[in-house]
Amino acid sequence: MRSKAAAQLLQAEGFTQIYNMSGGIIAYEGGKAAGDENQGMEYFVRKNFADVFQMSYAMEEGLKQLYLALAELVEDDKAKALLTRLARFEEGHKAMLRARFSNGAAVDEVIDSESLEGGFDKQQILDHFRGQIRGLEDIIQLAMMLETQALDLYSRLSRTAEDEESKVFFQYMAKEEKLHLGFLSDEYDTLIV
Amino acid sequence: MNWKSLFTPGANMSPDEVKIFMAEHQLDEYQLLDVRQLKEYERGHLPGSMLVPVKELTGRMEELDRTKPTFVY
Repeated sequence: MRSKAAAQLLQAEGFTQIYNMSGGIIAYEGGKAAGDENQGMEYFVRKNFADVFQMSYAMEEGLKQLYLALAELVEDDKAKALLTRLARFEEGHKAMLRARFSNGAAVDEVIDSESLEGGFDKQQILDHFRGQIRGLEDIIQLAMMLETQALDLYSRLSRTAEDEESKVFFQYMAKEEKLHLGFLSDEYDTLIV
Repeated sequence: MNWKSLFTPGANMSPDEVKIFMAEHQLDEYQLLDVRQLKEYERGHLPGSMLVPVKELTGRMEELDRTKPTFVY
C-alpha cells in the first residue's frame, strides 16, 4: 500500500512512467498480498469541497477519526497507544489549519458535523479496513500510506498556492507529515527483524 | 474540489505484467523502485531494485531516471 502513495508522489513530481506493482513483492513471489489498491485517503475523503482549506481540514479530521476508530478496534495496548498518538497529531494539524485560515472558526463546526454525518461513515470505514488490520505491522503500514498521501497533498498544494504565505504554510504542513512518516518508519523498524 | 480530481490516478501493473515487461526489456531500460524499509529490503527484494524508503523519497528524487518506466513496490 505504501507503493501506491509513493507512485502518486512521483507523478506529482512530473514522473510520467510510474507503475505501482499491485500486491508488491508478496504477490510477485506468488503470495497473496493483504489490502487492495483502492483503499487510501480517497476512500474516506470523497466529498466535494469548496476550497483547499476545507479539503485539508476534512482530511485531518478523517484521519483522526480513522485512527480513533482503529484504536477502539485493536486489543494490543501498544497499537492503541500508537493510534491515539497519531490521532493527536491530526488534532494539532486541524489547529494549525484553523489558525492559518481566518474563516477557520466558523468552518470548524460545519466541517466537523459534515465530515461525521456526510463524507465520513465510521462503521463503513471500519468494515473496509478491518480485514486488513491484523497486527501492529499492518496498522503502521496503513498509517505510512495515509501519511504519505497527506504529504503528497500538502506538497501539491504548496506548488499550486497563489500567494507566498500559503506556499510557505503548505510547505510547513508537508514537512510535518514527513516527520510523522519518519516517526512511523522508526516504529516499523523496531518491529521487523 | 475533491480528492480524486487532485490526484492523477496511478497506473497499476500486476506482478505478472511486470515479469513479462522485464523479460522483454534490458535491465537498463527500466527501474525497479523498492519503497519499503531497509530491513524489508534486506529480507528480500527484486534483483536490481533500488531502495528508497518512502520517507526519503521527497529528498532523493534526483537519483531516479525520469525517462525510464519505473515499477514501484
